[in-house]
Amino acid sequence: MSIKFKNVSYIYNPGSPLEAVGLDDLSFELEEGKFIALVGHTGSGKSTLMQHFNALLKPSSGEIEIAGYKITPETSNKGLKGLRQKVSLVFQFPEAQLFESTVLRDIEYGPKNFGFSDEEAEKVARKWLEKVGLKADVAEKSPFDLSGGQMRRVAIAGVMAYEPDIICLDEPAAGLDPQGRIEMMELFKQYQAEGHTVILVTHNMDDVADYADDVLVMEHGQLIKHDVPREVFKDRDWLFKHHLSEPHSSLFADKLGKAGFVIKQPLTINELADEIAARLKGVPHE
Amino acid sequence: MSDKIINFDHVTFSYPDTESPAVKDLSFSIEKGSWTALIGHNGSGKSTVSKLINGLLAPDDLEKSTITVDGVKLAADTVWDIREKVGIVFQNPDNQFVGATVSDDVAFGLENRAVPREEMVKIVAQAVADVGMADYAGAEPSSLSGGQKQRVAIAGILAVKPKVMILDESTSMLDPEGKQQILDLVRRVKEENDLTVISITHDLDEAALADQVLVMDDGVLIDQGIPREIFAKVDLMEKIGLDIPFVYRLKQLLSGKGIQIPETVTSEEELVKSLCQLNLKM
Ligand SMILES: Nc1ncnc2c1ncn2[C@@H]1O[C@H](COP(=O)(O)OP(=O)(O)OP(=O)(O)O)[C@@H](O)[C@H]1O
Ligand SMILES: Nc1ncnc2c1ncn2[C@@H]1O[C@H](COP(=O)(O)OP(=O)(O)O)[C@@H](O)[C@H]1O
Ligand SMILES: [Mg+2]
Ligand SMILES: [Mg+2]
Repeated sequence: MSIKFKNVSYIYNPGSPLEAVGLDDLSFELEEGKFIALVGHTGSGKSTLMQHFNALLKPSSGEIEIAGYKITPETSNKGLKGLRQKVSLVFQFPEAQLFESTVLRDIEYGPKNFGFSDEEAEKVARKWLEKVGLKADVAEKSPFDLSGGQMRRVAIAGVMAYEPDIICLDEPAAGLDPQGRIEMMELFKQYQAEGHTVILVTHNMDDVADYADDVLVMEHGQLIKHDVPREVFKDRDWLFKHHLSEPHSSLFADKLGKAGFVIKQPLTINELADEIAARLKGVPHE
Repeated sequence: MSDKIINFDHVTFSYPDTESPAVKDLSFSIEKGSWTALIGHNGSGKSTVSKLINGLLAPDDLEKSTITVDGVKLAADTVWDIREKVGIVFQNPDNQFVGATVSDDVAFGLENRAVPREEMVKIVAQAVADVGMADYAGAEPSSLSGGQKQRVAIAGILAVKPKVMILDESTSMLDPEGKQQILDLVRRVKEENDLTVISITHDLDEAALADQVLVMDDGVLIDQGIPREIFAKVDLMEKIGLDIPFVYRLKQLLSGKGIQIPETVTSEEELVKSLCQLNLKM
């Protein structure tokens, strides 16, 4: 199965003085089971798009097919619970959505809402608490007594605990410490490898290069590119024109090249180190 | 007068009903006009320190712990003086929006400081434009994207220009180009007005540009120094859940392949130069 967007547009506050275009005629198809990165400037429409995957926002025009559901401007909210169990969204600033009296209850909320028994819900909650890197003794604390990064982890655990087929994560790594970021990215990658679809918004091009199979690039509400990372990062002039950044290793290789030390464009730091070493050790270049 | 704008002396703080203090016996000082990066893993106590600096939280025992800001010792009757001097942009901007529009929101801090109306309008328009949000001056803060909210929150502090500006993960949702613009802007305002900046960040490439780095681990200040000294301690950084900036990481990978780069090389430009020299010698 795949996720299909056909000429999807979304207008905020239509007909009012605050009318604003959120999405402008998007058409694309995503293969399920992949790790998809969504990038673009602040305000380009990433979060607006993310909220369409589980119909929190419905298109003003156009049509979406996802997880066996068809969503059009006429789709009513009734009967969407099943969709939301299959396709879940971790909001940007998800910590704003925490509300229960303890961390454990907060994580149990989603599973219970989707029909897990109390016992099962507690079991998966404890499991995911650990998976997101929190200590077991956090379980009985109030979520409001946690640090920012700890809250972020609780919010992520709360959605992963009921294991949606498609998980949409809106800048999940912002505010996580460096190792925490890597651990969470690995967790999402593992989740995908186990047969789920991961759609992730990020500004970190190194994460795109390291983890994504497929990249969507947004600008002013439009989809301006849809390709694999290596292709997206290949055209430096295009990136520059759209004010998009590159993986750190590509940028560094470019600086090296300008200083006369030319190597093949690397996407990751390991590729970069390999290229440099091969060059310095006189290994012939392919 | 010393040129230390902030001084912590044996500061310990515990949140109510918790077993161990969130900040333990913390002592450090910050030079006036400097840029300090405060780093540490999630939950290490960074935001707590920022709230202690402006008196939102008070040490467990004011007899044993002393906090001084711009020559004023923190006490019940000085806390308002200190809040005038210190502005914080909090981690989640949603927690600090009070105005109905972007402009109202940015104006809020000035209203509290009795700035004449005419001047205020000018300052607000300038600050909103500086952070690239002029098109949204009349918009409701709640309808903004995450990164736009962060820009507005920063405009709020730049309008006030407090002597000490604390940025708590305030650019975490900006795209790389936007982040650079905002940091350049903060730096410019800081230089022009001789302000002091404390930046709490997980972006180690950003921390590498600070004058001083403070490293927190489980409520304890475990290290402080200039970036090049701190980030040379690769093992320590990894042990406490941090990473090292790109240049240090690449040097480490190269060293694993038998390519040794001198310790004095700590910037990308120096590394490029050093690699080119090695290349010529081949
Ligand atoms: N209101 C509170 N009540 C009780 N404990 C708290 C409260 N706020 C924070 N803590 C705890 O104090 C410790 C330090 O938290 P703090 O918010 O200062 O961390 P931080 O370094 O800013 O982390 P992050 O990078 O995640 O923002 C953590 O263990 C946290 O769980
Ligand atoms: N509730 C809303 N009402 C009006 N405009 C909105 C609303 N939410 C977002 N927008 C606008 O839509 C555009 C895209 O926002 P968003 O999808 O949040 O961007 P991104 O996630 O790419 O940073 C922005 O210009 C933003 O101000
Ligand atoms: Mg967003
Ligand atoms: Mg914090």
